[in-house]
Amino acid sequence: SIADRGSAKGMTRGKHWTEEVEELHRFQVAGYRDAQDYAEQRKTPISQIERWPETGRVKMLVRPNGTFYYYNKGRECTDKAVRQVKIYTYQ
Amino acid sequence: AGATTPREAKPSSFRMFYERGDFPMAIDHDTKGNKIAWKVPLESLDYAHYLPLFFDGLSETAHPWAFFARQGVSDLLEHGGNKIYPVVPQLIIPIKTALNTRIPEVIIATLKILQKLVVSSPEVGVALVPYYRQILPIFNIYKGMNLSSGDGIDYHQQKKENIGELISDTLELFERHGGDDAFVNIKYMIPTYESCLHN
Repeated sequence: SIADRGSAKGMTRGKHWTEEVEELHRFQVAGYRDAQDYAEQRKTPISQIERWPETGRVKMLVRPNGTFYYYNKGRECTDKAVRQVKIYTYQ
Repeated sequence: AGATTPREAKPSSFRMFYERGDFPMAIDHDTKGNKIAWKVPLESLDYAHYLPLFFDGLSETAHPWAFFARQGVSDLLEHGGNKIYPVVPQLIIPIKTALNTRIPEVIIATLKILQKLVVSSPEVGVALVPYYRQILPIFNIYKGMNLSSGDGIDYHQQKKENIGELISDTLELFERHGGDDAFVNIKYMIPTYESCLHN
């Protein structure tokens, strides 16, 4: 959990598109920091997050206000959005 | 002689249902990307009811209806799987209406949706074959619409908004996913079409 890993020690922005940036983008669009943050706030195990079987990318997230965001199989994080993705570092 | 002149589009019934709040979508103002916040899981949505209504909105060009209709259709198709195929007959009239507006923006959006529709599940491509007569005549008008820019740059290509190219891509997808009868049926409606599978 976020408590376990302590508070973030630093934050950088996405530089270029990678699967990791794509993953973070999907969570951050929905209002979470990452998978761990989602699991903690929604009180569901990380393994229960709906993912596309082919690519393993996130398929559906429940937002903090209870609405649902659906994601495509393909890449969703545009080059413009890459630079908005926040990559947190812990210790 | 005016074949490609945009026609006045009537306000769609999508607009009426949207204004009335019939769709399970939350209008949310903090959204970062272009996403729809659904109030219910898509798995629980009645596709036979909602899919034709969303398709009806494809002929819209004004915000917010155009955005919600296009994004809604796209979400439903991406996540519909085998719930889409039984609804195909109800989608033909909205598709035809949208193409018939002859508004380039609407045609581009509809072609992109058709490409998504035909690959959404294996049965859909075959189910569309009997309806080629309804939707392909407009393809025929625009098939040759490719900008001849010499050595200039057509920026529509970058954005995948070149109607002629979108049409040939869509027809190829129709042929690939439409089964054995697809090619002859396309050829019947669009005589200049050349197969992408047979030589």
